[in-house]
Amino acid sequence: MTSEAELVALIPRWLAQTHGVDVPTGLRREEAVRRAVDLYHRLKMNRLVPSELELNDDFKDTLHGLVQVALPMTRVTLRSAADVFRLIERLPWPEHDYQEKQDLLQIVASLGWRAMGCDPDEVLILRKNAGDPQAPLPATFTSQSSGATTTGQSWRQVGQISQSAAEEIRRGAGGSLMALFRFCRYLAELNEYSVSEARLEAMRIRKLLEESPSAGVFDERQYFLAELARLVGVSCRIAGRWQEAATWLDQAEAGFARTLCPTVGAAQIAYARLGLMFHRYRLLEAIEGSGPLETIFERLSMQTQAVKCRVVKAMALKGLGRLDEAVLLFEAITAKTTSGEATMRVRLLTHLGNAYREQGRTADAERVLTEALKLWPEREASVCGADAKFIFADLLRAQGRSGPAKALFARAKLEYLSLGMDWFAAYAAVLLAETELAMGEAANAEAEIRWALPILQEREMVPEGYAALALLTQSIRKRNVDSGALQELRQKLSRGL
Amino acid sequence: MTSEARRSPARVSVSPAATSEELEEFHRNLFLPLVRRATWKHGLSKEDARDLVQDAFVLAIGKLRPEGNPRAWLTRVVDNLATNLQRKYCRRARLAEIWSLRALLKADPCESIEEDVKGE
Repeated sequence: MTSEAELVALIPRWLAQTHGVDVPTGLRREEAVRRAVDLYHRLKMNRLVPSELELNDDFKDTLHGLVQVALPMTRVTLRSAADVFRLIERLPWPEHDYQEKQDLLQIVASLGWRAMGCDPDEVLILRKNAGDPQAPLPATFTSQSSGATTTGQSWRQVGQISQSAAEEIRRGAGGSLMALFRFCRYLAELNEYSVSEARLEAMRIRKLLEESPSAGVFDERQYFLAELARLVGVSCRIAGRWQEAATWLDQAEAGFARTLCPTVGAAQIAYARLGLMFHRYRLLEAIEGSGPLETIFERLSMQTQAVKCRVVKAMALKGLGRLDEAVLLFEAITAKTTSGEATMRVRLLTHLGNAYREQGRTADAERVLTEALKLWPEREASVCGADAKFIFADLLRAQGRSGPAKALFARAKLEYLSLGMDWFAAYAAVLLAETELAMGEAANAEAEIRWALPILQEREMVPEGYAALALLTQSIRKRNVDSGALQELRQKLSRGL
Repeated sequence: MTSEARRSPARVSVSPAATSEELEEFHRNLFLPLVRRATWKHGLSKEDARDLVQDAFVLAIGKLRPEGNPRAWLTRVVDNLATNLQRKYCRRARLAEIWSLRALLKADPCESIEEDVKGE
């Protein structure tokens, strides 16, 4: 097989040698359509023999004739579209062939979705917004889906939404798996309130889908397997299980590549990886990757994701100590968010407050963090609420206001625990212990560290982090907490947060 | 001849003759998929599609960088050329319609054709 570069180098020779020559162009349109109509009739009557399906250039023209002319001329039903889809899907088409196979499959799927009463453009919109519970739903979807849609409270309806997704999968062939769209949006929302539950639910439904090879009609099963793997990866990232997250994201990426619209999935995977880069302190890479990805999201009209890329960039700038740039960027993004986007606004205010704190602008930090805490209901444990409490507690600790800092650290720790974010709870415990040591409460501090050590030992860290952890463990054995080692450990842990 | 490839062969630098296997592979893997795209996606006749793909190859000699993504580049150029060609056909069809209406009204179809063209 000649490489791409070699093929390009052949262009001048090709033109020279074909000058004035009637170059063969394959079947004429009319002949291709005639053969396509015949092929369609035999496909319907189940009279195709494998030897007829040899993928030569004439047959490719016939397939184009089938998909673009013969099939649309008939009254397309879901079954007829599915039959043509399966026929093309099984053909061993070379991957580099200008995505001809994918183009044909997309056209057939669009005809089939229309036959089911779904607008293909709306299916694409749903796929773009599957991970964004705030995004508006297309009209067709809301009219087709029974029961609750995402209204900001759907994460509470765990059983109902999960149940309808499972039932749809069990129904097997013929379904569009629309309930799974609702389930994916629900998981994205649940990630904010109960990370471990979101992860387990996604894994459970994904396993069910894996065991149901006949679910869906076109690429729906493949798409949801990939999307659910991505959501598990996102849950793992939020929970601090970064190695696991990377594995799930690899699996999701491979799955999206086999769907009809791989670009959207690939971009979402790239975004999730950007977050992982930040957590693993690969900050320069995160900054470099955020710009091009933001452009891709803008081209795909995925504005929320584009904004999130800028947030990761600002976080990475802060991590690198480029505080002025980070603050400017956070301020610009925050100014464009409204109180209607509560989760996003709380998250941005928390980051901004943290950056102000590092700049030494404590009054500004206190102002924005207070606003963040007011935006979130007190009773509701959520990732962004716990983060806001944690950062505010750290500000109070730095100001020497140990009492309120201790109370807030303790609440943040409990919230992280209830959300299934054990590693973050352990990190909060380290800061809580440091605060208690400063207050002369050595016994309480020791208890916190004893609780946190096993969780921290599982975490991937820079070598200095392990050294500080070893020193701290040793001091705990001697029942005399080493405050220097504790401080050192806290500083190492704060990288990538 | 409509094809630029046919009009200006002097612009093409003639390299030593390629082997017939290489040209066959070029025909199968590069030329035909692009012809099919122009034919089926853009609704062109096979003859128009062939000329258009040859035009895309002529453009490629000056502009295509092998280190990029040659297939994506060629696909985009074929799509753009096909769209331009379709627009041209639409304009011609509209003019033809105007002329035939004039003929029906027994007016001289050439009388004010320049004004119609300017109007387009």
